[in-house]
Amino acid sequence: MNCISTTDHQCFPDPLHRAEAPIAHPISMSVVGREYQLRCLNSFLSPDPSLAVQTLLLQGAAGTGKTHTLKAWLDEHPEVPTAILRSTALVTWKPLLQAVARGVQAGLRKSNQSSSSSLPAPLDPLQVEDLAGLISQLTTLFTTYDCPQTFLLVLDDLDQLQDLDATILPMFLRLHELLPAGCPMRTVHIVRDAQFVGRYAPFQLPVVVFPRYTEEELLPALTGALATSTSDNTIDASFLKLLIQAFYSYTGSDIAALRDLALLKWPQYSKEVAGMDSGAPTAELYRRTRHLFVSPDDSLASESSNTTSSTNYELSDISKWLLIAAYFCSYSEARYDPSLFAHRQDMKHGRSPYGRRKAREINPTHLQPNTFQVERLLAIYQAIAPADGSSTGASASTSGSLRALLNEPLRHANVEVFQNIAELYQLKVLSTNNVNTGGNLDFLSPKIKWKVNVGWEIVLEVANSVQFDLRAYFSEVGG
Amino acid sequence: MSELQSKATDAIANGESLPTPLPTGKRDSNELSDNITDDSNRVSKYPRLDANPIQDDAFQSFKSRLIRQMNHTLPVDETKVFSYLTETRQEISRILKQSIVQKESHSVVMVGPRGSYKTFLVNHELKVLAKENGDQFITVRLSGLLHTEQTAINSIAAQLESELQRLNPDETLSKDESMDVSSGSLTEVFEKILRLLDTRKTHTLETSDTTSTISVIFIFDEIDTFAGPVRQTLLYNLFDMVEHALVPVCIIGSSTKLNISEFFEKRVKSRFSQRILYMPECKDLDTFAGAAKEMLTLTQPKDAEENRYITAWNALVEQYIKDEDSAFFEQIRNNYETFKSIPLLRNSFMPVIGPCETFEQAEQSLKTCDDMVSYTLNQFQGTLGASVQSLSELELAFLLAAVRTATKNKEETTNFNLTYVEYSDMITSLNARIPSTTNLNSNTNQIVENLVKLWDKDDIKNVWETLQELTLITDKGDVGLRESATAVFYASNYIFQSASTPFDLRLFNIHISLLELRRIVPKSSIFYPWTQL
Repeated sequence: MNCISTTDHQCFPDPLHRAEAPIAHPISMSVVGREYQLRCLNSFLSPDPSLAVQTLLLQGAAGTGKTHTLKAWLDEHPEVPTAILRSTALVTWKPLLQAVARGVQAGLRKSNQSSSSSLPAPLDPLQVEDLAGLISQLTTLFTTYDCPQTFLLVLDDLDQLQDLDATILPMFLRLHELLPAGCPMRTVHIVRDAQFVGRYAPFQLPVVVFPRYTEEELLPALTGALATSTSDNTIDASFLKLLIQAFYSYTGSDIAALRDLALLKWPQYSKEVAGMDSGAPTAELYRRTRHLFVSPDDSLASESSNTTSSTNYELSDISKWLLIAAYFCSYSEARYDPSLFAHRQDMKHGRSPYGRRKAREINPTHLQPNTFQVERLLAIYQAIAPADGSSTGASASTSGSLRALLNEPLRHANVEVFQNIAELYQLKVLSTNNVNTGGNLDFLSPKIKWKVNVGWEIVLEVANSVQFDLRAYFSEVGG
Repeated sequence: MSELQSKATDAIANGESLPTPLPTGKRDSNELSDNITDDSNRVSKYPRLDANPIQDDAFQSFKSRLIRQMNHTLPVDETKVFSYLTETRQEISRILKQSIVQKESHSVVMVGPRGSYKTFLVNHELKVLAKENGDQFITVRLSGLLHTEQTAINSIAAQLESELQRLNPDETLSKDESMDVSSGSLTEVFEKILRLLDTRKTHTLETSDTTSTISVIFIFDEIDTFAGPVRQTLLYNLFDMVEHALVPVCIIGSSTKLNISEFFEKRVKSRFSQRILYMPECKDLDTFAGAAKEMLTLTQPKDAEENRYITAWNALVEQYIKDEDSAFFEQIRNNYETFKSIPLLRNSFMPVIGPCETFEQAEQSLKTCDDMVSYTLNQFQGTLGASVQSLSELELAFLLAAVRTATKNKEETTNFNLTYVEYSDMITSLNARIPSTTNLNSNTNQIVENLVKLWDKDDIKNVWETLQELTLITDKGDVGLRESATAVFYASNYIFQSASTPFDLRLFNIHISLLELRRIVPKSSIFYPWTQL
């Protein structure tokens, strides 16, 4: 469905149903901090098509009030028929063209509803297969329907179109040249990326830039956003002030994030201060509710989960040991493998792998993983994984004799191990140097190099779950 | 400031709850339709209070005329063409007259940067000629930005059909004819077009019963997009038509490429007339100021009484342009020394006149040009420097950490892990210098806590994403905007290495340097010392 989404993430249906949308907060309240931009809109747009520019660009980061301000201008000029399209919902250019045809037709039919003559039969927008089809349909629409005012076509978040290419905007810039002379359609493109606008600088289009809100502008803007998104208008201004002071550095000027935090914390806050005097000083309110403003608490994880407890990630024991072994392969150097993993004591003598005189400047686990051969993975796996199936990573016999070595039950590479490697590959926990194999990967090919695809924190949790002390091998890693 | 706004401001200052907004009623469709169709009964929440209706109408008429002139939407006989374009305009007019009136075939390519009024001149001259000779020619428009070679054929056929119908409304193309024109190879299509034009004939002159052939004017924007390395069949056929067709054909191409003729194949070049019109530019500041003056100076409307505001306005414009110390002349000079672009000057001037409700406001606005300055400053608010200035403290600290890490790295890249380590080192070092009860050996019960908060790694990920959204950092493997839909299609089927790398290990490039940050971050900021390694 084509819809307009404001900074409130509230979906407005297409212009057929625009009349049912609630009237926004008074324009003077809802566009606080955007008075200059509204003034520019009044200069560049007009219900009279001869007074409106052909194309207007509105540029600004997400949550800066572009769509909101344009809506405020449209509310001030209800006589202007409009088609507002959300590009993120349209993915590629063909649905975009079809949506343009659909939106324009809907807007024109709406604006002509009161005319005495009956409306002509609607055209099928799905017949728009390409630009020529769109031009043909738009030509038919604007010659069939009466539209003395400006018809405003708004493409919201055009640069967020998933399959965007460099020819789409120029196409809309030149579209009017192939439409009938005097066609009243004008376009407004709402764009986030300044570099996208800069790419089309030679076209010398009028641009209105929406900067991020300052900290002072956030309170009235947030109040307006909450008022339009919720029916409950009783959120206290002092709460919002505390919220902004506490979390402005975390959220920046993102109105949507602040609004979400306000809606998350307001029920708890109102409960805490319920018994307090309404005229209590802000400091007292803060002291009572300080725990709410320490952390955002907006994680998707449940509050009861213990972050220090190990999680299984639904992996089998073999997979967990393979993952740990893969981490060693990617982050420790092969020349230290005998020292680290050899069961024979005499091979462990000698210089410690990290007994270097000079400490590393960069922790290697913070860098991208190195690739390794599958044989090395299997060798380290055999060295660290317990053979008796227990979850403990207890080392094997320490007698050091050859007989003991022969008697020692080792985990041999068998079909289960390879099944688990395949599982880890499917889960993208392990990856190869060739990403585009089309599913036909020969695991044993010497050309294939592997690497681990998870970070230190996850591997540490997995190691803790099998009681393997991973930190002992990576002494430089804190935390 | 409205009463409601002042109430709201007072409420915020006093920490009170905000007043309830206006009741949110639903507008029913009848009301909405009244709003759209009947402008006089327009229901606006903000009706304007006109002090003097008669004066207001005259001012509105003046303002509308001025904006129409800037938008080139005045009637053709009132549209002004800049003086510095006179020669080019005359050349275009001559070529078109030769094609339309004298039935000769011509081809010309206009070369000039975007916004140099190529299309405007051609359209203007066609409108002028259409007033007296409108039934002697048809226009077919093609654009390299809108058409490919294949779609151009269909477009030519469709436009021909509609234009011929305009000329001869009684004669319509039969179904077979209309569907048949665009089928076949390009050469066959062009043969059919010529046959069609030949058989359709024409028009009947008003003064006599004689008939004459219709001239076909092809306006070909971005003609260089069709002059690709592969066979330039469309151009070949078009220019061949100029050479050999019985029907007079005029091809006017436009391009931004100075060396457009080198793009043509030999066979195309041999059929092209080699006539290239280079669009003139304003050679000096005086010419540029003259063009600005022409853009803003109005002529009195022909069919209405004299508007005194127009006279007064023209005098003001003349005065400020002659006065080199005036704010308006300074804006013209700034534009001349930077962009040298009349369209950009027009864009910045629109907010000067647009919001004005009285002539006094317009006068004051022109005198100070504050709105022009504001518009220019507004353009700078989309730059990276402005983005950095809009960052919160945490965002700035993390950006600094990212830039420091990238600067220390040989490849000038960084990832989230390394940046977080640098950030935590920065904050730890900063907090070590801030006095607090944790640092001091204090025996009192008072708690002094001024330390900068060290945010968790999980929380900081949001900040990292914000920096990406502001394009201060970008993925190292990111290619950017693809040139065509085909390239996008192939790219969408290709899995990139970076897409499979964990979030905190992906490599990023930073688009701002430490030196630039040192210039942008205020010296009073606690993070200023970190702008230097």
